[in-house]
Amino acid sequence: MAVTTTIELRPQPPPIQSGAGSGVTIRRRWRRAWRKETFAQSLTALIGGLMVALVVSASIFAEAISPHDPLAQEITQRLRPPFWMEGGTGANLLGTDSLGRDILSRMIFGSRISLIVGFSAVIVAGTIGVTLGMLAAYFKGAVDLILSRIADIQQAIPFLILIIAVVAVVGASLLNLILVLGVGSWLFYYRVVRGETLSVREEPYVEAARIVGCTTPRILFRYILPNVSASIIVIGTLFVPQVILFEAGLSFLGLGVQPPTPTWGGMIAEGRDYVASAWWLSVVPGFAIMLTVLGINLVGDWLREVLDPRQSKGR
Amino acid sequence: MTAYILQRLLYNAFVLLGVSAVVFGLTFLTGDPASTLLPLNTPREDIDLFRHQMGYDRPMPVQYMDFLSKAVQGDFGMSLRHRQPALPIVLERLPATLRLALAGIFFSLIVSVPLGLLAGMNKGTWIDSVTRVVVLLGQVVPGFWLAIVLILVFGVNLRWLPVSGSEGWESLILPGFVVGTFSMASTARLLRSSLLEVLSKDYIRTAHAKGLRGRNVLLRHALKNAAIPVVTLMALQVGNLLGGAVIAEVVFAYPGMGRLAVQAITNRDVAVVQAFVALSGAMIVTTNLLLDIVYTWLDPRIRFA
Repeated sequence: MAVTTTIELRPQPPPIQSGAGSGVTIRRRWRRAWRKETFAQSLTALIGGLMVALVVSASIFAEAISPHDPLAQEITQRLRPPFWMEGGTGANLLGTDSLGRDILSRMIFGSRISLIVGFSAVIVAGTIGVTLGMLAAYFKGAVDLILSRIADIQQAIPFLILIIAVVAVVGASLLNLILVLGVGSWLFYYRVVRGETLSVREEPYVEAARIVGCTTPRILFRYILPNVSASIIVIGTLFVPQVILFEAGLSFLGLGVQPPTPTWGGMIAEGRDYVASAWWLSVVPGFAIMLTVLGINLVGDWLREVLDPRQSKGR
Repeated sequence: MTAYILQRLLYNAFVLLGVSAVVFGLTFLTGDPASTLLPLNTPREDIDLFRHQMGYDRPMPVQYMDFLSKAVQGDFGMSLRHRQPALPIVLERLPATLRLALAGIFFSLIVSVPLGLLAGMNKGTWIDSVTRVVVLLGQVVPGFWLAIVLILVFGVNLRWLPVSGSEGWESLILPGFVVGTFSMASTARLLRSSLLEVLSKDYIRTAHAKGLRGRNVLLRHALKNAAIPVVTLMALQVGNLLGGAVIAEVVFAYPGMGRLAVQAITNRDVAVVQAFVALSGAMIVTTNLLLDIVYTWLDPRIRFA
């Protein structure tokens, strides 16, 4: 009998919109975001979206659109300048590197590593950081104390140094990069989600869920998670570009995905020795990084304005 | 206030202890430090002997306590490559890195403070838009790429500035600027938003109402309060500054401890890496402690609490 009562009394979880977040306010924010005038206002977001779309489609259709094999060496064609310079040809639009490989093709294929590492590492960081952040804020006490102190300790070690040291020891592979960058940046998610959960856990519907005997995982993932999801998305879009920059930096230092696989950071590093004679080797791939990072940043800024309650004025 | 500072002191000591555990753990990331440190084809017996000599076969807590007691005395073991104690090698490079970091802070402030102030005072005008663009650029330009472009422009083409080494103050300009860009954008943006928030406060309206001149209101009432979050950010960015210094030192072949650390990492010179990470951690913890103390001066509410 008691069991049936519990089921009858179980409060309805807050309404959820697919993957976007839940609750009336968040749904209203999304709807406002898609309304025509708001979107037109944020022309920059549209431009950013186009940049992201360009890079993402380049990475998906790399085989189809790249003019050459990114690994094919043609020593007789080495160090060709881009097409707008003297000696440049239409065959290698952005020139060739010191081994005669086509730079444009290598940039197109290089987008794959950047995007895969960027998004996967953020998913790893988010999974760890969000789970631990909710746990710390929900249970408070010893759990919170221990996790928060671990975060403090990690913050006292320069991120880049920590990542370099760990990658150097465990070895540079795609999987290791994703894991190290992901695990290394859990605390950025942790801090925000913990803070938000601290206030959400006091909401009446969470109390109600607790009273009727919902299990802790159910409370965390069904009632609290949807209500902190807006922040999770916002941090994600602001953090992917960071990770892409870190990955490029690691590749630049020779600690990224190893050659001959083309990476943007690696291409810039390879061109360093030719700065005086063939500057485009280093300079041109940098624009791919900036285009990607700028695009995601612009979309992220717009999302933050739309989703983050502290940023929007309408509240 | 003494109680407050004492409490922060204890807390930061604890964080430092945690850092030491991480530094200690670096040796064991691969599982067996003995086989990592020795050349690949070392005979099995030699590995075992080395493991025993280095004490890697003792229980982990015993090793950690041993490591800790030595580390406190500044002993991180011998550098395998330099055949010298590790910490002095790192300390020797510290002044060069500090000079670079100071140059970085200088460039960061000289760009971000005027930009942030102007943008905050002129919200919605073209000045604000220019700041926005600069901030955005600062966020998206990879430091190592910027370094190469600077070398190309000022070193190779214009031949104005040296592009490597640390001879004289001129050699600090390019790497210092690169280090500065790591915090330029965020500082300018934070100063702008923090100034905007302060300017909307009641006490600013009061200051205007009682007839104070605009400049006085801005400098004495608004700026001091707007500076609090900026000071916090600057202190929190010491880690970024050190990370940025690593990149800049590598590209500009600047003889600082960041470049030393990267070399040590590629040479698997664990003792030097440990000394470097521990020293960086200590520097960050010290800055945080100083920050806590500066707070008491910036924000009287803490002083009298």
